[in-house]
Amino acid sequence: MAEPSIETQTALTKLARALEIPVADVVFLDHLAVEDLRTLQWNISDVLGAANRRRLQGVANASKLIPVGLAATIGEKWFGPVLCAQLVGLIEPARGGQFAKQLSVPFMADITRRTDPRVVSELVNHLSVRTMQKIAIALLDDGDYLTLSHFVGHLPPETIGSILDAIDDNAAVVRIARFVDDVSNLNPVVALLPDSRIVALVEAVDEADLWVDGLHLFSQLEETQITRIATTIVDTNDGMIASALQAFDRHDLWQQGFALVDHLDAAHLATFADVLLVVNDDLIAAAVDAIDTHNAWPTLVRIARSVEHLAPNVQARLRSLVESLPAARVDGFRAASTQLGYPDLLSRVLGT
Amino acid sequence: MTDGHDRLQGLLDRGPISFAGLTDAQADQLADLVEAAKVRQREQLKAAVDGGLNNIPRLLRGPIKKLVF
Repeated sequence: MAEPSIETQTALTKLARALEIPVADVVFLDHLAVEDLRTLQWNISDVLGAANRRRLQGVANASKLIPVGLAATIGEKWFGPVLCAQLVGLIEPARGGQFAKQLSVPFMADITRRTDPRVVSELVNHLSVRTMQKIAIALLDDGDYLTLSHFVGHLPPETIGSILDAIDDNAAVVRIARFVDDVSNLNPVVALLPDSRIVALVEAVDEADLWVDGLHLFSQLEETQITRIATTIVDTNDGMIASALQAFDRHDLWQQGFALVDHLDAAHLATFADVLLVVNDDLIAAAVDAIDTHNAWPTLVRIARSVEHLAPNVQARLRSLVESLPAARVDGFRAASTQLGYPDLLSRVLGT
Repeated sequence: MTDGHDRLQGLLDRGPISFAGLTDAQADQLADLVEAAKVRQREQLKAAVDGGLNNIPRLLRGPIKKLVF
């Protein structure tokens, strides 16, 4: 049986978290639509939150009768993170901020893990950035990427950006992003990141071989950010392009890779072509197979359209590549060339 | 609608969720998980409140009990 998609795995993990059970216990739902799984997860959170609402509100009210320090001690020592997480949305945000000054960071991380992100929008205004950064680092120290992802879309992008400032592990940032339900919520966050951070994220994707997650993520961002990332990969160095190509082949990510290439301008396409066309023959053959399989001839046309500006050895390589294509593939290249407004491209490539 | 689906709908009963993709046995299994989570949460709450009350100054226990119970 095929492995569930990344989105399904994420939705199942979050559903299991809502029920406080291992993810293996909900795998039987893996055939449901991702949207249904997400709705189910929020629905279950609502039902569990409402189940003891009256008593929980009583606990929240009672906490006002005792000093913050004593209430925090009782919370950490006796109530535990599950109950405290349910109280987060019932306690006045300002008082929540006072509690945060008393509670230990590991305990707040445990609370955060179990908190419904929909109830924290006011509370974060009463938490210091440093506190949120410490909680984030504690979660990552436990390898918990899912919790932070859960809050994207429920916190202002600037707040997420401030938290990311404290996370040095760029591979962790990619892993967090992988779990975000609605990637469109990442666009304003990515837009806030400086170029140096984008470079560091791309390097982390390469070093940790996170290309599967990385390309899945990049491909869902808005056009501006995809272009920024595609350009960064090309600008980093030739080694990065070659490494990306090998990853596309290793993980069968050609289709996603071609989508990135389609965002490059002419100058970056030429740089990309310089590398693509001089890598080893096996990789080139794999790329051409993938172009044929995914009908990505327009991508090759875009690469080839500036053929006269390519380095002589790259031009020669492109020529021999096209000459070696079987007739059906040449037809695919010619049709795409004509469609994109370069009817003479085949002749130009072949020098005829 | 079948028993498992009825049970699940009764437990969740919020918003339009389609359970058409679930067999009756799967709907029953999911309903079991939700019910178990509710029971677990209720027990956790009771234990936490009992433990907390024992550590509150005696004078405050009465008023706090009134608020919580």
